[in-house]
Amino acid sequence: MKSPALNLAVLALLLGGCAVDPMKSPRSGAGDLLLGASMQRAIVVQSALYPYHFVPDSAELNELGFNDLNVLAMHLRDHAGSLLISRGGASKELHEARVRAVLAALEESGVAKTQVAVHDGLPGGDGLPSTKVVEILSKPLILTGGGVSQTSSSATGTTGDATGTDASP
Amino acid sequence: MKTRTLALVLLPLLAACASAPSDPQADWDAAAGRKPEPDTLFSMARIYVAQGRDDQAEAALREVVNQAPDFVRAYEELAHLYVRRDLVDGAVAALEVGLQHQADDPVLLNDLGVCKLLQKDPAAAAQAFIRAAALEPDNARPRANLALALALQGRDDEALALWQQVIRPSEAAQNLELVKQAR
Repeated sequence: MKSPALNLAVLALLLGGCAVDPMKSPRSGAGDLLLGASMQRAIVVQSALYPYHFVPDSAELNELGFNDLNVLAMHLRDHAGSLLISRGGASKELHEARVRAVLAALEESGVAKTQVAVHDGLPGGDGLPSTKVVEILSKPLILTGGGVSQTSSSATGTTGDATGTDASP
Repeated sequence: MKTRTLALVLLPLLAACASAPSDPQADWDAAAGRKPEPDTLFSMARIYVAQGRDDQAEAALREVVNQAPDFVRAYEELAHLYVRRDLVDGAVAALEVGLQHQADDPVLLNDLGVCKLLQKDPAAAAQAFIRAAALEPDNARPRANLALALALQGRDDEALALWQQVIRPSEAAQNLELVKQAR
């Protein structure tokens, strides 16, 4: 970490978390139940699985991956929806294996394949303010020079300042 | 029943009810020679900690785990003590021994993750937080810590999504910006 002050601030926060022991107390109060319900709702709203849900360099879901997928499965059993499986830095083969593993796990949990559409894009939820999202032009951007002519594909980017960016109307 | 028989039956019963004459001095001496129970030692250790008497706290906690190796809260307290004294390796050792006795303790796992962050090993920290979060699905703390461990590895999308599960999106974005500046 660059700044010692920031370093200390982060550590103080974490150690404060260690010393104050919310994890020690029995977790059966109404507040805990509400927090749990709120996190489950967030998991459903995002409907997303990330590389951290998997064992590193493997298509196998880890414990947290299974937990979150169970939450999603409970929802998807009754409500068809889409599920983001983020590729992250995984190879194409590994990502495809992960998608297959997730679909198989969902099927085992009683979710029909027709109930869920898998994609790799942005998660659900509140996300970013629309003013900060710039949809890059779908029409081809012609780059010329040295006899090279290329076209760009459509993509979504984020910026705090649209200056210099060719934004769609 | 004849009176004589009744007396014979009642006598031993009454004798059993009557307590033996106690010797307060003997009781005191016996208790004085006895070692304090782990619970008592642990309470004493926490009092020492509150008073800033870290050496005595450490000695008491070591005695707790000597007497009761499964007393996992003592490993946790020892780890806190070591971290405060900037002995992170000692804290990791204490937590790892604790986890040998109780592998699925989310508090020890969460604290181990924090220590791994202090050792600048966010990948190992993430693994500990993942297990802690899985064991305590309703607890936001290990998820938030996992987000930090991922952000420190440059896994920004994953970190942001995790933070958004436990805090407001604007705060999540703020956290990510802070970590980006720090890394």
